[in-house]
Amino acid sequence: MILHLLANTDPAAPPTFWEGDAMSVLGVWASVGFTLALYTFLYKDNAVFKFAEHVYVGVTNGWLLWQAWFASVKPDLVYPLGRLIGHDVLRRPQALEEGDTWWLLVPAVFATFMLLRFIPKASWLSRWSFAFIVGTTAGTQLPLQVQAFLFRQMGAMLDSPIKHGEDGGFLFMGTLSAILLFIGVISVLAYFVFAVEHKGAVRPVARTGVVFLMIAFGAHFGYTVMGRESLLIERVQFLIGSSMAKGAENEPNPHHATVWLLIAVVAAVVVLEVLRVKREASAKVEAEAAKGPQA
Amino acid sequence: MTDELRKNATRWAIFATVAVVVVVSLLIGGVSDFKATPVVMKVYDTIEKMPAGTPLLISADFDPGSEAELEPMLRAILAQCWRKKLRVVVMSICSVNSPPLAGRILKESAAAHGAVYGTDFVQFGYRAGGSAPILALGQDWFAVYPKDLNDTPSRELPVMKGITKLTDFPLCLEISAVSTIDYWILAGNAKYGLKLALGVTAVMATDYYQYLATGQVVGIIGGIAGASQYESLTRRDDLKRASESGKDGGLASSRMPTQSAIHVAVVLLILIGNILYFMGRRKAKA
Repeated sequence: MILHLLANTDPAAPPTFWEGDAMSVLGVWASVGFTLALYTFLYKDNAVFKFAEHVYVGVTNGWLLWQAWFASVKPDLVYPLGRLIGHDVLRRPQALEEGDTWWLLVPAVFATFMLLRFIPKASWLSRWSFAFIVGTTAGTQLPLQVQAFLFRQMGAMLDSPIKHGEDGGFLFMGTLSAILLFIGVISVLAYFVFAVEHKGAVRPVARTGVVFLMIAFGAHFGYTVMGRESLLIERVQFLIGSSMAKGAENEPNPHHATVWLLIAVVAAVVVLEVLRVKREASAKVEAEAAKGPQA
Repeated sequence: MTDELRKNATRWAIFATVAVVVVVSLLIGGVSDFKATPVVMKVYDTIEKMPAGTPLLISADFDPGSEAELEPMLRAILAQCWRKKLRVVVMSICSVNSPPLAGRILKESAAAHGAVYGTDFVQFGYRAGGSAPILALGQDWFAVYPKDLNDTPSRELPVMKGITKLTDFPLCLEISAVSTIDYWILAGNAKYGLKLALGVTAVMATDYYQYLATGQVVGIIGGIAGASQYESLTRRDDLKRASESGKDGGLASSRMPTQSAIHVAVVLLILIGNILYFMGRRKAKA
């Protein structure tokens, strides 16, 4: 909020310190520093990582609160209600805008009820809000859930396995896929039927189900690893100052920051680790010394 | 300290190997050119068939944690949209984090291709409530979004000409890292019959393949690999513009050689680990 107040609101005016080059450089150095500090976790949980983690959680929550207020609550609830009060209650020459309606009081009241959980005597009112959410969700979504996630999926599985293309030609891969889908669904379901012992004819079907499950888990795991690698590559692209990772045209290149901050972060981790080892050793000596006379 | 070193040596060696592979591979550089799979091609072809001036809805539902995977595909799709002269409408139902991130990408991409805000594209803000805003958009767009992110009345924007509700869009592209896709399938497709295409993180890709068979989704771009395939399609059809726009034509493709290098390193590490394990077991038996 302080940043918002300090930010320049007049587009014709020259950029303030918070919008200028100094802030941009500071932003890049902070990004590099915190990225490197968070990666020190690969060595082990340490004080530098802890510092970066706490700052990250604090800043994230502050940013989310700021965004929720200025980008959602204020323009969608506070301003329209303010205009309505000015126009309808105070009878001022206040122009109303599209979407301004007194019905906004309903979500405003329910949202206030939710916050009443912090006041023990009035916390029961929050149940009204939750009841409203659960009721509307069940009412609007249950029929759609059954239609979209159950009937449509069952329909695709029970459809003819022989597939044809748009030109009417036979589709080999489409047909093979439909047959595999049918076998997969039946065999996996057979594996999860625990009322019948997996013996005799059920056993090979259930074993086939396990194969399908393993292939599915493997594909899922492979994609997950790939996703994590992508995040690492993006960060390293940023750290080495690749033109592909560069944001705005005038954004400074971070590779100088990377070199200096890598040295600083490694030095900080080493010093703090040495201090920790020394502290633990002296604590051990003290504990043994304290134990000595008793023995 | 020595015990700690012995205990963690293998783990640290793996991290160090991956780090060296990533840095060296990125410094060497290079751009991959993968052949697009049919599921990616379907998204591309659906947009490609749209005549100029067709409105395209993009729901940008991601946050900083998934930007690395989803930014390249959004850029590649936008580059195609600008070339096709489509009208791009961007919105978000994921979190308040999404509009600033999507806005930056939109602004940079539009500037590189000469697209004009209000005429060629528009961005609307975040709307909370999961499927509720989608259901409401299906009835009246302007009741949910009376104004855009710049506080301009939506009805006054040339880009919104002829659009009054969700079904006025022939296609919705959901670029997402969270379960907002389910809301679009439920409320957008099942309720209003809206045609959907997905751009998802690699982790989520396998969860949504079953919707292709039912036709609930026309195509899926999965992770950086999918984005790289999409970029190769964009480059194929618009070589000059892709090379001019840099990031829009090759952000994912510049990352794929490194991804492949990591895969090779991981396979080698697995092989080395297994060889050492069996050697150790044989030694113990002897």
